[in-house]
Amino acid sequence: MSCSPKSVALKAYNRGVMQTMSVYVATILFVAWFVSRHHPTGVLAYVLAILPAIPITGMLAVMGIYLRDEKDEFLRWITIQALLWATGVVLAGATAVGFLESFANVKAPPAYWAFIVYWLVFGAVQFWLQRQYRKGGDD
Amino acid sequence: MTNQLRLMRAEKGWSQADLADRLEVSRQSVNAIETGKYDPSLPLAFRIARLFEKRIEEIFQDDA
Repeated sequence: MSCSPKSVALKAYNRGVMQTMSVYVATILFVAWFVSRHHPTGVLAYVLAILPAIPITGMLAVMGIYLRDEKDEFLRWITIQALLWATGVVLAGATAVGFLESFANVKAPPAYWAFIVYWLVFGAVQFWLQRQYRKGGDD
Repeated sequence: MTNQLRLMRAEKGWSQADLADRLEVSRQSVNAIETGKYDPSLPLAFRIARLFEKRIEEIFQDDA
């Protein structure tokens, strides 16, 4: 995220991301352990499989809260641009992978990779935008 | 849009960080506005104008 030491919203965002990521790591470790040990089936398997997606989805809520609460419109603008880039790249990539799977028998990666790619693109674009906007500063 | 923000800030002897503090925005925001890479919203433009006790059009000029 953008570096603004005064931003209360940014501090809350960083705290929220740490919390959701902690819950995510704990959940996925638990699910992986439970599935490998007990080989659940039926409803329990579905519930366990969906569990790690809940904290990951929570990250989107944390981002939404940040955008709502960030008072610095410029930081908000950079974040929104990065989110739009990430959305576009993931949608275009997912569509291309879907067609590769349909017409070229390419084995698609697990769908959860979309989320990972989304945040990687978001971070890369935000870093690049901050560098662009920082140029020309005098002090 | 062009603006006189850097000049006006220099006249006051403020750094970008000083101005950012007074406007309650990030230093990054001040830099982006000064370099013409970001045009502030009307509410922020009014805050800048009030801070320097000038009219908005004395600070920001439309290139069109």
